[in-house]
Amino acid sequence: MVERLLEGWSIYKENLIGKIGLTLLVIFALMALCSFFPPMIDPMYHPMTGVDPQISHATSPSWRHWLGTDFIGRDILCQLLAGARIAFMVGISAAFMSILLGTVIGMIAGYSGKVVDTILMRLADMIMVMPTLLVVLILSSLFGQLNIWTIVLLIALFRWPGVSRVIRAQTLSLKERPFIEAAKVAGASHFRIIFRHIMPNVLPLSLLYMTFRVTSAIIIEAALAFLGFGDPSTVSWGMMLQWVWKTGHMFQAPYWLLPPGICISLLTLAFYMMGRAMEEVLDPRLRKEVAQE
Amino acid sequence: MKDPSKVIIQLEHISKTFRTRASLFKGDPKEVMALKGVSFNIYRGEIFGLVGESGSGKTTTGRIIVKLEDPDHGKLLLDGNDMTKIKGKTLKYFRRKVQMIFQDPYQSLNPYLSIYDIISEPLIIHNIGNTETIKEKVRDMMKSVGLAPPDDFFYRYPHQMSGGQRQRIAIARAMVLKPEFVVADEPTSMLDASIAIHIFNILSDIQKKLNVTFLFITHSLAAARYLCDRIAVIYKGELVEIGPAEDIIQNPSHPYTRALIDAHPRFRY
Amino acid sequence: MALLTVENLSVGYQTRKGFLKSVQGVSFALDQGQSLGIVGESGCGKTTVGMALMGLLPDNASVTDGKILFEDQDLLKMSKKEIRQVRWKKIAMIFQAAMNALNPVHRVSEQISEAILAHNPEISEEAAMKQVESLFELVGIPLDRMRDYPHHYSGGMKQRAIIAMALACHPSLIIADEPTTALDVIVQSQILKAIKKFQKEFKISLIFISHDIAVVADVCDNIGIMFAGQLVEYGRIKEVFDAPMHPYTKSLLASYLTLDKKVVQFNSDMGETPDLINPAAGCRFCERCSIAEATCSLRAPEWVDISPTHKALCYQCK
Repeated sequence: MVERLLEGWSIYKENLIGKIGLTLLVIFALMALCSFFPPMIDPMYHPMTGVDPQISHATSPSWRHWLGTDFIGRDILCQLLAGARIAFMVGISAAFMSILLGTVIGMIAGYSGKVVDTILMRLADMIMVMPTLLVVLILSSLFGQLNIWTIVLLIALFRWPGVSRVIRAQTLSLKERPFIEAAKVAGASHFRIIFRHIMPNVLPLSLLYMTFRVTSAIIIEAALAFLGFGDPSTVSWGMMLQWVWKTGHMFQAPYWLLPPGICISLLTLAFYMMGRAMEEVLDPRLRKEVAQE
Repeated sequence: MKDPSKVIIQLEHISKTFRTRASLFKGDPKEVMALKGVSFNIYRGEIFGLVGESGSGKTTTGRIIVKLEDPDHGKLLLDGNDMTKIKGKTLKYFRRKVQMIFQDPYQSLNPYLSIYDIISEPLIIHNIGNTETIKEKVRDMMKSVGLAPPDDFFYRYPHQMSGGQRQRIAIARAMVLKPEFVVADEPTSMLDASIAIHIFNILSDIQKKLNVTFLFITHSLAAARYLCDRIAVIYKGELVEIGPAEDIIQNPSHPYTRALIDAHPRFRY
Repeated sequence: MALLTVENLSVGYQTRKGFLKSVQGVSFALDQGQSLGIVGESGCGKTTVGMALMGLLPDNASVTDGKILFEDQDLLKMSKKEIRQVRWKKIAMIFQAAMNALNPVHRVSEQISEAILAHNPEISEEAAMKQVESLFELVGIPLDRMRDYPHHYSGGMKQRAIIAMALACHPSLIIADEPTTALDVIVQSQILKAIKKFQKEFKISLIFISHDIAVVADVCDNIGIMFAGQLVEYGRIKEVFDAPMHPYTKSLLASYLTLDKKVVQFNSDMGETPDLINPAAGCRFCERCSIAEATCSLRAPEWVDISPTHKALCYQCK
């Protein structure tokens, strides 16, 4: 298994897009990790509550505050770092949950066929046509401000159908393969066939889709925050954008406006690039080199 | 070894029809009668050959015997008991006794499972033994099929093995439960002719060692002659001839059998 | 003058694990009208030889040595354009499961007449269709099936259509790579009969590549046995089969089953393909050989002439 991972890595390495994506990702991951340090150095660097005793309005970058401060004197760089942390958390948790749900449902639908398949796929269709953002907006306007984890859950609940379709298709084709029939002949239960035989074969596809799901999760969370429906106690890039806008600093404080926007774009781009590079690893047909038979 | 009074598998008037789906390129849906009232008996301890070309129904017969498919009409009996419509625990018990070796060694092994996982799985499914005894049984089986030393192969994966090795793993997997009856569905048709004979020898050795009964499905009369005691020839879903292997080849009575014999490449030298 | 002379051909593939020396120093010659069978197990390089002859090697393959002289021109030195002229008009190929090479949305007769017109733009469409008719008769497809689509054909008929397409431009050489492997025995024997018929009638040279020595014995005059990228025995079929010299040939001949031979329980080498990225310095068959001596693994074996038309690559066969 390790050998396979190493082989996969060597193929991945050759892909320029993958390397760029991975580099960006590492940079952001470092940012997220570093987000813990500034408040420890000095409480005024705390993203939410840090207040510089000398500054209480938006200022441009200076030695004290490398990216400047926001409208109440909080350090922007710290907010950016904290936002990276939130983006990773939200992105990865939401993606992970939607993949988990989508994979299990897709496998069960594909394997069972007939009634179960129809019910699950119609459910998927119904959810798929609902505009995620709109529904979440409606829900939050009904229930008031949403907690960040509720947002994550909602994203997952709305995003699993896409994954499940792909996994179902993969399961359908795997179902007919001789090694599945061999498992049946050996006496394996349906549960065993799905989780021991089919799952490892669809997991690479699931993981691939996870990278794409992360991008959409980050964007949805950012959009929600920007529109004012995010969790007000967490600092995310979307939240930062909301504050810029709400406090009327859109055109006066580019040092405040640009960083979060650029970060959102770059992080989603990074995940997307990684996903594309992974595709090449997973699908041997896309590889440039063909080993002889 | 051969006990004529002990019939292990009986097929009585088995019929199966497949319906193809309508599609843009293939025209109206057609009904294909894969098997038309096929009946024969297989005795304990023998290697029984079922010879036919593609579309003859030989693979369908094998699949019905291992219950991957159910017949539309007719009965399947194991040791005199009707197994045609069993489910649940009885089915699981049946699976311990009746196993299959598949045709394509490149597709019949899960690419994500190690060799050890593949061969030990039947034992785990049927709850036979603990980890130690399972390891021993797997080792024994691997040695019987020529994958020695076994521990070297335990943690390798199918894609690292050649076609011949993979088929040996498939044989080990089928035999690890020590079943009473095994269907070998064209086990060498995807392998080189030079590797085929080794596989036949392994099957023949295992048959003697474990006293298993084999149904050997093939399109090659020559292979059936090498391996089998009795042969049945199947053509378009019907049995046209059945009897001892040498008899059928020396004195074929049905014109189709004669055509098959004539078509085999001649070794004139 | 030989139609085709292959001299010391060596081909390798660039793979992730290194340079795989797939074919090493293969030489043979073929006159017009002669047939040669190349037999060996999977991975021995026989398909690579066929592809090199047709100029169809994939991108990661390279010819490291040798010449392929066809009608006195070195095919390896030709440009892609020149090779395209030669291909199909002079040399045609029949692949394994070539039935999938037929375009499913065009009628079979159209596909063949298209091939004819592509190489002979001066003839008319009717003349081309007449040629297609005579080809169908030759390969044994009923004329009333000419205007069908490929999916209406059985496997055997599709393969026959492919043979008709190969014959369409009257090539001087046909390379058939496992043409009957995917077919049933009865259909296989009909296809082999058809191949023998047109080969003798039109004096077309034939190179028949297969892992099945029985099939080759049926069709060819000469045979070359390949193992681990090298030609290990070569000669007239009768000579090689009557008196096989190389231990690998002997084990091949003993291991295939027919209805004629007496049934003998056979036990021989159960070896795997040797490593072609770092091949052994000496004889590559050493590990599986029953008569190997200590010197065999140290020195590369040389050709031993058993007769003017029969040679083997082995020290022990004198």
